Amino acid sequence: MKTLDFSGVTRTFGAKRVLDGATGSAEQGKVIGLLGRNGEGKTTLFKILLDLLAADEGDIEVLGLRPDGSGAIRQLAGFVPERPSFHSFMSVAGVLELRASLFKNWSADRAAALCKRLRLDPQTRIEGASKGTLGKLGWVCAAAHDPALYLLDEPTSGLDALVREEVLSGLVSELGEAGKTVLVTSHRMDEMAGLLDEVWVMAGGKIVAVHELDALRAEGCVVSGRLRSADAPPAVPGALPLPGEGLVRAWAVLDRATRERLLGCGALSSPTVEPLPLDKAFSHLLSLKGGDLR
Amino acid sequence: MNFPLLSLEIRKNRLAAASVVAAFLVTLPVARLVASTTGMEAGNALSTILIGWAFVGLPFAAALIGATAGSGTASSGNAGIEALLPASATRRAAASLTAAGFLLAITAAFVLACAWFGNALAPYLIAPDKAFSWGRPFWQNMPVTNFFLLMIADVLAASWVLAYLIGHGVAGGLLGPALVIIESFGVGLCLGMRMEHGEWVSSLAGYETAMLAFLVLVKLVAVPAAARLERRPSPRVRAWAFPAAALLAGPLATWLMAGAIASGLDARLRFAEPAPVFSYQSWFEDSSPTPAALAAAGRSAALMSVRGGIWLGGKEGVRVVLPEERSGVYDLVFRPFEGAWLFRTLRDSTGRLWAHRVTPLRDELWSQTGEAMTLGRPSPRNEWGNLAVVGRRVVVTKYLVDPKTGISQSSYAAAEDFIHRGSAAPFDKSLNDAIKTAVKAAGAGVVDCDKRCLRVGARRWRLPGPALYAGPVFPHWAGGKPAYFIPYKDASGTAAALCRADGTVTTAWRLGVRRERGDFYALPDGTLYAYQPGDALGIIGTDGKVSTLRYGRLRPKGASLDPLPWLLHRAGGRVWLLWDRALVEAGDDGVLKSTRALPRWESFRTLEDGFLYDDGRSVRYLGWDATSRRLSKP
Repeated sequence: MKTLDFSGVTRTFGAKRVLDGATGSAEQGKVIGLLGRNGEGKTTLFKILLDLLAADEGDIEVLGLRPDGSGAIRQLAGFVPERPSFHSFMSVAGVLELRASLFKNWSADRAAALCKRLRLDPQTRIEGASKGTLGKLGWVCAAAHDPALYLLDEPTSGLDALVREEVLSGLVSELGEAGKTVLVTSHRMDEMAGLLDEVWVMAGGKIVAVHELDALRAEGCVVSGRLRSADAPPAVPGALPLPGEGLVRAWAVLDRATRERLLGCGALSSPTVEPLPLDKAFSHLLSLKGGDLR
Repeated sequence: MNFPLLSLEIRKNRLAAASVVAAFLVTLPVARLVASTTGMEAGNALSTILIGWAFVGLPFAAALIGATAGSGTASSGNAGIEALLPASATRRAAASLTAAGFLLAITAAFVLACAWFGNALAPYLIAPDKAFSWGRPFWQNMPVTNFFLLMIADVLAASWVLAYLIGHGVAGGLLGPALVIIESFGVGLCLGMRMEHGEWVSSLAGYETAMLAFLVLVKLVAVPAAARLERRPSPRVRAWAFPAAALLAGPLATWLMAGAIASGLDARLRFAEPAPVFSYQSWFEDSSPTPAALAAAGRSAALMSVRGGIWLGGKEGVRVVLPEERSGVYDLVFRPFEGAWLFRTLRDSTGRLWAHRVTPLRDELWSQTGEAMTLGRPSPRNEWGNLAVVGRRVVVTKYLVDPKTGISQSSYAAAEDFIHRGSAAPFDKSLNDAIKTAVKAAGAGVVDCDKRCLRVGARRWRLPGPALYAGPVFPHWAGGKPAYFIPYKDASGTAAALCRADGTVTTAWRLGVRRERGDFYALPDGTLYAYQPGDALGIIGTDGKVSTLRYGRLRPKGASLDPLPWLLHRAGGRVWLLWDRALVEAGDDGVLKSTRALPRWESFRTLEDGFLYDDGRSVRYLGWDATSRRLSKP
């Protein structure tokens, strides 16, 4: 069953087309990392999926609902923004009380338990609260109504190491185990690597690549070797050339088929294959620009 | 309405309301300072401040609270917080606007309560009568309350919507009231035109209040349209079109309505205002018609247009006798400054029509010559005051100050003289002298000093009781001969003795019944009637016979005793009564013959062959033979 399904989503701001036909779908229970450089449209995509913004074009279905401006999607989804903010005249308890009166499935017990787990004092005033406190409160607000879909935009931003660990190894991990669908962006995706099922790569306003994490771990490698001819380094689709000069060259390869094509093209003499660490793989994925590499 | 959102919005915007209340409280002690620096009494200074708060401060508070709430809801900070809540932008906007209204209501209640309990508004807001008055408390004087509250609501809604759309509180707080001012100009124009031209205006409860309600409504319609822009921040023409159109609809509607009213006024005919007829009978109203004037009523009545034209209207329709003077739409609103307008008309005993028309620069005296009116020598504006009939003479009147005594009194010049000489005509006699002269010339009688008899020349009538007043008495005509009505007192109260030319004295009718309508009335054929106790009319016919018509059983369905019936016509053993919204035809014996429903009417004129009535939109003719027609400008 698909929790998230969108295709051909476009959105422009003035003359700038931030989303340009983004397409993707997520099965229930999947934890998906959304990779992309700054300004590639990740936050805009989140806002459209949450029905905060209207798409110019495209079909969108979230938890069986189509965005209509009613806020019904937000009733069922949990969102942790990069920089959570709340009314400064409120306390943590006040924020939770307001949400309790608006979310149908809100559980005060669950909210209290999350506060306790994240060491968040309900009496804390929002005015003057630290970035970490706001981040924790953002997590409580996103999870206390037990949503089926989580959209996490830099969910560990501002959290100290201990809490970050608690969030990652505790909360996010449990969400996956509980069958929740999670779409998460992070500039430190490597620390989430153990939690992800898939990685979506966003570039140029599109989802340009989708990789299963298990496959990426198993098949990702660096292929290096001496060029038989200095004039024509091989151009194999999907093989990402690594920086280098002279006859000895290397490519990052993310799947088995590309590796076989590169090795089989005959351009390299004495090629070697070494495993590609995930952090390196993510870095290479971030360098993708346009073109669907699936 | 979502109450959590409403309470959230109230918490967010309470500071704006609190600041208004704080400013209000701070200004109260200023009254003492004002009093000490200006010499004004402290109570008066406080009253001035409180009244300023009631009428100026509250609209200002509406702009402040509305703009604060609107911009607060639109601000990127709050939008980032509240947009994540599971509520649509429209619901959040509605909650914000409702909260602003709630806070304004509390603030207004506080300010008005202080003003009220401070007794400051009492001289302005309390009046003993039940009619419309600025002097009533807001909650008792509903037309004013409605108008004032709607005006404040309009300021609040306009400020909120504009601040929300623009996302800037100051801009919304300035542009909102500006929009309302533009709209109010149109509303004021409508009101001004209707009041200026004597349209039926029931204080402020008429079209203008409905228009204000509409103006508030279109802004409320703009709210969901504006809220949709939250999901579409791009400045797209299509997205902005609806809220912009909703906001522009207000001023447009007021101006369209003003145009429609101007057009309607322009096309409309109404009864010309009759000039006063002085009869010098202290116990009758000054304007009681004299037989001479009544005789001239004839088959048509003078109608006027708003631009100073005169038409004669009757069974045959209308014909112009004095063309109107056209200038522009502007003169419909600012008639005293721009356009020509008709002040008074009258017909003299020969049936000749006279008219006093006013232009911004001069007073014009027109008189009928044949089928048309001719203009006499014009005189500067306000050179003379009124056109009147004294006895059988048409005069123009003017207030003059006696250089010896310094006392001002009404003087007159003969209209015939004034036509030829204009302002050079001498105003050398007081109007009182003219009336005395007219009374003597018309065979006036005198009630003797013992108030027991009436003398006319050598003739003498003994009254049934002591007369209420001594002095000259002007004759009326009963049965074609002069007759005198002398009020006297007896054991039952007061009555009018009818002294006839044949020397008889009878009691014509009891006085004091329905005095609000005067003591007696006359029909064009000379029939006189008065209201009598027991739902009856005392009637003196053209043959001089006195009779009684009991009208209690003739009451049309739905008509109450008040208003009372008017006797319109009496002929061939039948009478026609105008009673509320019906024309009742009955026998002289009070047996009902027929009832004809009429629209609501405002005024009427009786003619020989029928009567004219003004239903608020046009003048209509209805004959005794049941022919009817609408009289409109050709």
